[in-house]
Amino acid sequence: MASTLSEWKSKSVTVLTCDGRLISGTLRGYDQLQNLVLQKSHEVVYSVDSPPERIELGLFVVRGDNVAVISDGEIGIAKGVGGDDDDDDGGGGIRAEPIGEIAGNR
Amino acid sequence: MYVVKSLIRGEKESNQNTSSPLLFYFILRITNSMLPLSLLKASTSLPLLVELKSGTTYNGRLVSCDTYMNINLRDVVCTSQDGERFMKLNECYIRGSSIKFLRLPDEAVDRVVEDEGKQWQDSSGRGRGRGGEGGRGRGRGGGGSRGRGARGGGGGVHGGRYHGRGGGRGGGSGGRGIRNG
Repeated sequence: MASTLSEWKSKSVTVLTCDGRLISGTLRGYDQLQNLVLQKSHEVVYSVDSPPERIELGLFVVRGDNVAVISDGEIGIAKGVGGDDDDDDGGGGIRAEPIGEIAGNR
Repeated sequence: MYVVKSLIRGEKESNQNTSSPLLFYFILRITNSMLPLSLLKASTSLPLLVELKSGTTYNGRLVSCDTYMNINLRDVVCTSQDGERFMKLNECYIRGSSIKFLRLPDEAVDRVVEDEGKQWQDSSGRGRGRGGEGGRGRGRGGGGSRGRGARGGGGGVHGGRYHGRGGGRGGGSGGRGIRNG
């Protein structure tokens, strides 16, 4: 159980941002405002009618204002999870509604 | 005259304490400590992508930034939320609080490490005996302005590559927009 972000430094983390994106990457740094540095990061985009899509982002700085949740580990798109998946883009079969904006954040 | 004096004094003192900044530099490397704002500062003159809270994005070369994350860009292409409209701006200033996130070229990470080493060596050279805080500020300023001229050319090379990547991503998010709607 991590009580500070320092325990996750240089580990894989997933960030849920206030606009509802899920961004995974290696936590390289952070500050008091929860501005984050993510290296080798990617976004996972869920949608109802197609498998999750992975968008490479590279080196990424998220401003603290925009961070809603930080969790450890990255979102793997497991192959074949969730059933019928025949496409070859490495995506699993999971279909999900995109997470909407997190309310109350401005 | 004043500058010359301080340089001479700095030279002397840097011979005496070269170990402590180096030690600090190694500690930084071991702990992988990288403050987001140091990274941003280190990527001066590199191309970057800024997304604002409104969803508009700005692609440009970083001129300067401060501790509020206010940033100054040059040779900017501004893209509207829907990704349909583009605007070209020579220069622009973005208020830090309106930023959602930044995408930097991967090379920026290596620069932080370089810069931190340089910075601490500089600080030991000039700052000691004048109070740590003041000395450090001077050290940084010097390093930044000296480094920039030399690095300009390299930035150009990465620039091409990075712009290519930015384009790719724009396409991706466009796709998402259609699906959502």
